[in-house]
Amino acid sequence: MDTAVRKTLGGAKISFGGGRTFRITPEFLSRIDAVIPFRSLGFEDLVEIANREIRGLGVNISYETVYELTQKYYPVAREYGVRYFLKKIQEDVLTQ
Amino acid sequence: MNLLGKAMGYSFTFEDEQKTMVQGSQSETVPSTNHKEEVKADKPIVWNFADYAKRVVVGQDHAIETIQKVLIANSKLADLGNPRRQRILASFLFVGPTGVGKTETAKALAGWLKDYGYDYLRIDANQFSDREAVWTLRLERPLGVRR
Repeated sequence: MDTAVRKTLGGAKISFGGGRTFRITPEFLSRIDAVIPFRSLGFEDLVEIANREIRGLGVNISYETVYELTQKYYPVAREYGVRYFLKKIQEDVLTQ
Repeated sequence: MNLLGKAMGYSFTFEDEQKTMVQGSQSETVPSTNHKEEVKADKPIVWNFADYAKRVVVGQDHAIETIQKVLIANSKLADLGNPRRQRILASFLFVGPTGVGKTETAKALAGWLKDYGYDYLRIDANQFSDREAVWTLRLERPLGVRR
């Protein structure tokens, strides 16, 4: 897995604003011990994250409710990321 | 660094680049060679980082186990006297979409290492993506650099 990611990254060009670029060279990659790919989160992970977040707020609700909330905002998570997804869930839980 | 990269044929996004360099605090852990052994005997590192991080970060078990493996191997190299490993224990490049736990993993590693007397310094490279911002790290603008 590590080698596959390295192959993808090798020679990739990163552009910052203003026309500045950085090319990922083999010299750069060889100085890094491990290139670690993080997988995107699935539905079950989102349920778990939402569960922890709500428990962290000190609100006691059932697992089923968390599951339903996750189902409701799953498209949001897909499109706008986990942070916005959590924000939406927080709003829902705290205004109930 | 917020990296928006374009690969050869197709475009993709590196949302985040975390290059975590873990470095032992010289003043606390290694005042002298004799003392170093005392400290080690006092509190040997138990590599339970994976157990800890899996409780903090959801759904990235593979990444966490890879980190743990590299850390164990490199700390053994450091014990054997590898000078590079004594200076920098490990360097990682975390790659992935936004909001999947890259920063959380780095934070978990830093928090876990703190228990073993290691200092950590957090430089959020997101804030230093342009040239002007890098000067804030150096406190003053280097000579010969045009504004």
